[in-house]
Amino acid sequence: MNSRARLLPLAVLLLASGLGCSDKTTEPVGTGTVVIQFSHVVGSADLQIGGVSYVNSSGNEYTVSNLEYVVSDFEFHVESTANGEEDFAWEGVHYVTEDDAATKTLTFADVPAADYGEMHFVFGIAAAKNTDGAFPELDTAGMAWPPAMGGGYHYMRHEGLFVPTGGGTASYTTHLGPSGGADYSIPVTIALDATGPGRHGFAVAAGETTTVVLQMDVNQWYTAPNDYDFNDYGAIMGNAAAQALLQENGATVWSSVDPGA
Amino acid sequence: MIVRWKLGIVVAGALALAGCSGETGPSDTPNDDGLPPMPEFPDNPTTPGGVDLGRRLFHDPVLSGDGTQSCADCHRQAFAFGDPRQFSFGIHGDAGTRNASTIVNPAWQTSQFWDGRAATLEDQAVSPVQNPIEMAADWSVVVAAVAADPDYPAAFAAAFGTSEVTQERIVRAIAQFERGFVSADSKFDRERRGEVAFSAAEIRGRDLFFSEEAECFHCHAAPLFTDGRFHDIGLDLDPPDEGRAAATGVVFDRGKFKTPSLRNVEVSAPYMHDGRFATLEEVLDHYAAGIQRSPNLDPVLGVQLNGGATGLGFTPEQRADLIAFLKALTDPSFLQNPDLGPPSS
Repeated sequence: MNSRARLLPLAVLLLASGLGCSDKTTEPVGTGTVVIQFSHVVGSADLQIGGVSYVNSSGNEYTVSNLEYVVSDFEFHVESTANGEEDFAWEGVHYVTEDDAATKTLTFADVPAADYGEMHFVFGIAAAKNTDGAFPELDTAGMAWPPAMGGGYHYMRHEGLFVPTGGGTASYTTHLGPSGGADYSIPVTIALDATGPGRHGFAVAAGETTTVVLQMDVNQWYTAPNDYDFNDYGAIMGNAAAQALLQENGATVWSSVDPGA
Repeated sequence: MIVRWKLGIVVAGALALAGCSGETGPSDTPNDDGLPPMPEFPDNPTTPGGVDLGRRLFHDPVLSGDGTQSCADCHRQAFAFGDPRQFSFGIHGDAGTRNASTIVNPAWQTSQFWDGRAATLEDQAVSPVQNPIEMAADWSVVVAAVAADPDYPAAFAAAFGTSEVTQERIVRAIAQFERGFVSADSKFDRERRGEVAFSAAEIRGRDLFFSEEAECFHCHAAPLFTDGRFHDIGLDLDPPDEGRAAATGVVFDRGKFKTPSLRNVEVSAPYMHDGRFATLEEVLDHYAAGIQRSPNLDPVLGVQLNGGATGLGFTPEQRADLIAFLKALTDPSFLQNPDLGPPSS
């Protein structure tokens, strides 16, 4: 019997006991579906792979060859608990790569109907579960982080070319992950306005689908609050200072936008 | 095994939680052999009859225009189902322009051929049969020839329920057979399972392989030792072969080729899409000091050239260690598996 078959009864037990579903055994308000769409931009323009040049706050002119990353542990926080509404939590991981549109959508079925005012997720994987071999599909995708460098998985691989000081062409590889075994994953909080005039469409109604667009501004990785000059960094998987700097910048790269915008 | 059970519990818990949302994400548990769970193929589920039929067809020259060449003539088991010749020769003696790809753990791959122009093994199997410089056959003639064979109709009935012979059924059977090309019992696998120990050179080679210093692992990702994606590794400043761009039409894909698995790389010479390197030592020469900054050079390699280097600059000791590790990826049980060879009758 393979591992998957051995584990099936355990997973069923956990489901049946409600252990995996916390206290959501009754849902009198009904549930809807939430679709998260991942969008990648530079400033106000959609990200283009290859060819198109961008400029960061250090003045580096750069192009993007590859963008892939992992997000995990989504939470939707209700605006009010007056009528018994409860927060929603999902403890999984999701892989996104710019060159595969199918990965740019994450669907949550059975989200309790409510107005949600805040979203949390982890960019990368928190240390407690970022262990070697835990997510075979990330291994297959080339996202493993070598055990000798801390183990687990990359949070992000962002790669491309830039014009170095003095001209010509050079490469950058912004690889974020658990460098040296430290946890550089990035907790992200997105404030949402579920009911106001600037609402982002994050009210879930029973039986309906709500789409939320999570937008990454790629340039923000290199711009705020810390400048990141490609000339100063090469391969950074073993560079704790670079990981910490980008961890700070990572908190500001995300926003939620109106899917109809 | 204790570690695996602990890991499994964590993953099972994640799956249980995911059940609340209807989205599992990529979490799953590895197989006992250390490979990821094999994908499912609901459009062409594997059956014993289908595998038996595919095995016979794979080794049968009836698929070629003059009945002289089978799939196995260019995809030879002893060479990881690759071809030891730089280029394969078709039934008319014509040479191709690329080295025949190895076939190692193809079930996990989401594209086929060096340029990925076929999405599935079924799609892949269509092409060589009708390629004029390969098997140069007409599919309708092939189907008729197979149907006329006294033994095949019963085999098709065993595989698909009726004895009807069609092109679609032929390629589906071959795909089922090829999905059984599973290599997961090399010394690397056995070391991971705690069954054997690496030598000092293999340990050094492994540590170098999985480091930014050598930059092997980002593309040759374990445990499949391929990421299944397309990269320009700086073989030519102006690539004469369009590579992936021939399939996509995208300039940015020019000179990119699918990452080959390094499993059984010891026996799969010559190397690269055009078989230009005869030995692993020549491959390492390229990475050590021969990388060209081609327009689409993969940044993972390109970042190593920042500042004017021409490669990763391996020392002789590092080369020896890397080759020791690469040879630990050889899987004799795969290369000699009688179930993958020609049927006995």
